[in-house]
Amino acid sequence: MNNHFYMEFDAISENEAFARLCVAAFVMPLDPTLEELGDIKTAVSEAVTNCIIHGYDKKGGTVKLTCDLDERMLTVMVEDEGLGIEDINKAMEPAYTSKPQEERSGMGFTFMEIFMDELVVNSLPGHGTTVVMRKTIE
Amino acid sequence: MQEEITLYDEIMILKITADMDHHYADELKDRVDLTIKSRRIRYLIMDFEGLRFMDSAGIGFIIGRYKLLSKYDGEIYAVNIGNSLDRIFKISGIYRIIRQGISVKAAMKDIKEGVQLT
Repeated sequence: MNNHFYMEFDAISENEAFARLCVAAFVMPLDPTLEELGDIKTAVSEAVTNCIIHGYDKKGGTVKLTCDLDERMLTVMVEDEGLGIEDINKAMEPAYTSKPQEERSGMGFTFMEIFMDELVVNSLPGHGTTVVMRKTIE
Repeated sequence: MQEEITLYDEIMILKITADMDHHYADELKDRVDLTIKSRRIRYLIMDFEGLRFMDSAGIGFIIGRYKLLSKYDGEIYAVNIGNSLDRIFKISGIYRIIRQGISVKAAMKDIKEGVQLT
């Protein structure tokens, strides 16, 4: 099955659940296992939370979410037009957080990497960040 | 509020049934910390039996409470850890700072026996 959806929503924490539930509903026709569904929900939640906390520094903005299904391969793209990431490699190190005073675990990108098959992060400081994740639903 | 807090002396039992994401963890931590400080709680038992979802914000929540309770020489117990939660705990290395319990009852027994020894 091929399918596609695109949506924009406010960068507020209430929408973390909204976004991951939308993607979960989108892949439901493929009859994913509970584990696959949990993996996708976690990865989407991490990416969207990053936009809200880091991209827009909790000051609000717009998050764009695009999902594509190519047969059984899901591609999720999460974009913000926020602050961007200066050093992507550092940001992706497990347990690294740019906000240690806010008790963030620094595991966001690690979870995205582990729970999805592929993760690509593009960022331009001052312009925003784009995260693309792929996963094949067996 | 989608959690249940029960207090026994220095023990707080926190039963989490909501989705543990950044939105929820941020509001929960204020309520929990207030009680820990005002009631002189040293042991936090987190019961995950009704948990449906957790992401890295839940790990951040545990690290934060660990830092707070460490000041009071306390500890965190996690009980009723399901398979998907166990995976997240293992990946994040959180087992290094928490104790694992089979049930709330077992964790309470463990704490009380430990307390009597000291």
